[in-house]
Amino acid sequence: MKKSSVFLALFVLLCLSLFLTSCATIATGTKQLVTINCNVDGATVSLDGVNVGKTPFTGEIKKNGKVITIEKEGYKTYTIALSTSLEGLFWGNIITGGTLGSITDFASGAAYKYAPASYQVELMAKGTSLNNFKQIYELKKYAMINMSNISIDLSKNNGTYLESLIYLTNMEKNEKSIEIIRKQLIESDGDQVRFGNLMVKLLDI
Amino acid sequence: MKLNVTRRIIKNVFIILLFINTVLLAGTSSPKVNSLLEDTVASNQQWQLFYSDHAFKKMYIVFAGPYPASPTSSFGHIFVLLEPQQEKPFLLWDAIDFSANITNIGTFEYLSKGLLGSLEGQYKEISFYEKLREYTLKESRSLWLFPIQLDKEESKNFLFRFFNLSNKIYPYRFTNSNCASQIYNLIKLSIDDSFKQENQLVFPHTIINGLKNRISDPIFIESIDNLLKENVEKITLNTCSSENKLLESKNVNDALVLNKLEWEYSQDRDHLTSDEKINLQALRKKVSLASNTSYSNFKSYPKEFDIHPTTLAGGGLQISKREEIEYLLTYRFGIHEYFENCNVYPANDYLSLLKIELGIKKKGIEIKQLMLFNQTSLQPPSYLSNYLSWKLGFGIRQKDEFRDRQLASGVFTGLGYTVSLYEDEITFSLLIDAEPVYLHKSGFSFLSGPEIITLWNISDRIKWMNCFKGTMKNIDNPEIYYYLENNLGFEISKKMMLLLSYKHSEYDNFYDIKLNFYIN
Repeated sequence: MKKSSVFLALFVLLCLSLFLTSCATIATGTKQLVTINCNVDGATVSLDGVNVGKTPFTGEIKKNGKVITIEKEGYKTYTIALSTSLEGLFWGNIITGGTLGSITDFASGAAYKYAPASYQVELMAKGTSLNNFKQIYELKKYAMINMSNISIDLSKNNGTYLESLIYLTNMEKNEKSIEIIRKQLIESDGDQVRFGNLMVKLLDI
Repeated sequence: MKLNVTRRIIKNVFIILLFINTVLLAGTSSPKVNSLLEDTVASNQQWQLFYSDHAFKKMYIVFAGPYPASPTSSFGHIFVLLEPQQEKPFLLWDAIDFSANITNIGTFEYLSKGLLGSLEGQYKEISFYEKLREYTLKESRSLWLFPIQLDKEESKNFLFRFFNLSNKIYPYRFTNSNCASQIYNLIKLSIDDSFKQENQLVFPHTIINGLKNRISDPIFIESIDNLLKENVEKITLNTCSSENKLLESKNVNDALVLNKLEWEYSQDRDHLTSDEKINLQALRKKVSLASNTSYSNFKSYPKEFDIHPTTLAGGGLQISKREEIEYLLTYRFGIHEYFENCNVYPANDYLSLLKIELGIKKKGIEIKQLMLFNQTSLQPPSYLSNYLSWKLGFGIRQKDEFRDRQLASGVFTGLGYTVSLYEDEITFSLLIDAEPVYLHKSGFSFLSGPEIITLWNISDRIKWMNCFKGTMKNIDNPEIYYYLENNLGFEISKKMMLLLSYKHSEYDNFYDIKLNFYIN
């Protein structure tokens, strides 16, 4: 092989490296370790129609899978369309549209990512009012995603993240509310899912 | 000789026009952006429900600064934030943006489709805290929030159009059907029904200018990178103080570690190990129990949006030992170059979309530079990231390092690393260049070699740049050249710059004096 061909190949690799720095997850294999939590334990998790386990689910799933279904008797079945890479690309200004679904309509439930490869699915019990479901979903999602910043705000007894959480729990903004939230955070042991569930209990719905 | 020069110019211009034509044709062959007026509301009842849920008191245009790690984000991003009529913490306000759906497509497909306009774009509604997390935490970008004045009718118009459009798909094209153009169209149509959509190139920051009669001074939100840096300074200040201050430092440090972990995990991580999870959880508990910490995890304040126009023109002189005096003409369309002052773009990221430099002599006109795209990122390491430095350009450049000052057409790339001194006031970058080019006298060549760039912000108005470059021409039968360039830039006024250059090669020395003006 001519030297120039070797250098040309190296040049192409150099160019590729410029554009592929942000998509490392794509090349790491055909399966990915994923955690799927749900507001209901024991819901069936299926990948492309094949049962892979029950919630809370932690296991490897194929990256080329198309659809994950979560179902439980008494609840509406929830389906999530998967992206090829699960983690998706974060190239430019683009919102991926949610890797395991960022759902804006609440026809049968909702899902969101709260930590690396960790997703929370909210199944809607048949007969639940849409307003109640939405209120719970918004509070839990906010609390789980912003838990670290809420901890920091608690250390200051003040802050924008804490203020929003108090608002979502329908409490008054005062020291008592701050102490209640601090207590719940300690009780949750710093775990996002437990903290989210404890916050929902404050709603008294 | 004169004929040869003319032929060379015609040939170069032809290649460039062919390229531009290809891009434009590709652009126009994609479906035209649908009119924002053509659809009517499906259900009046749905609209009423939507309106009662979304009626807003105030609208903000949000500009997200560039993301140094991603070339396609260098232009920034635009979205809209709505302050609801009823009191609500601003993290929970609704944000509306227009973005492409890139689920299930690869990087190169995204780039090509984005250029051609065959990506699918959609208006989306999302909570502000999620946008804040995406930009300030995950991508370390700062935000500018510009309040925009809309009356009640205009606000209702805006929501009505958004309601109509939110479930529809539109072509997304980087150049003229992007986040900025579509948000701009939506706002302009809400203000004026007779507004005609323009299919021209739109940058996010030009939207701010386009709406300048309606917007007020912005509020700035710091990126996580800046906040962490500020908190580190707090710890350093308190370390040699009283016991209380030491405890405070410890608390700030715990919060800082927690914030930094959060940033690390927000990057493209596959998963957290059980040890990482346990550490994170323990730290959350510990931090929440600390009292009266002065850690800042959010910071907003009024800040000037200081940005210069994108178009620049200039003229000057070049004197050299061997050549006759040459008159220089420059035209630049793009974003930002080193000698320009601006607080919106990262100090060490430069981007131009079209740059033409011509030299006029008695012999005729010479192309010095005709770059269709040229981007250089020389970011020094920040508190959170160790960015790679890189450059990427397409077009034609005169290579002064060669004895016969040949024109090189092709791709100009480089990859390397930057270090800095005195809070990034002086930076040193080492790049390894790789340039597959067509040299107009010697044919196809692969040029490679090291390049050392030193940048020094002497003051707000004076900047100095030094570049040393070694070039190896051809690998099979190598020829080595070196080249040294020194540039000094003075900002004479907000609209005018003076550039002085000294360039040295083995064969000649060049002295340039140029005066550049912005064109609004």
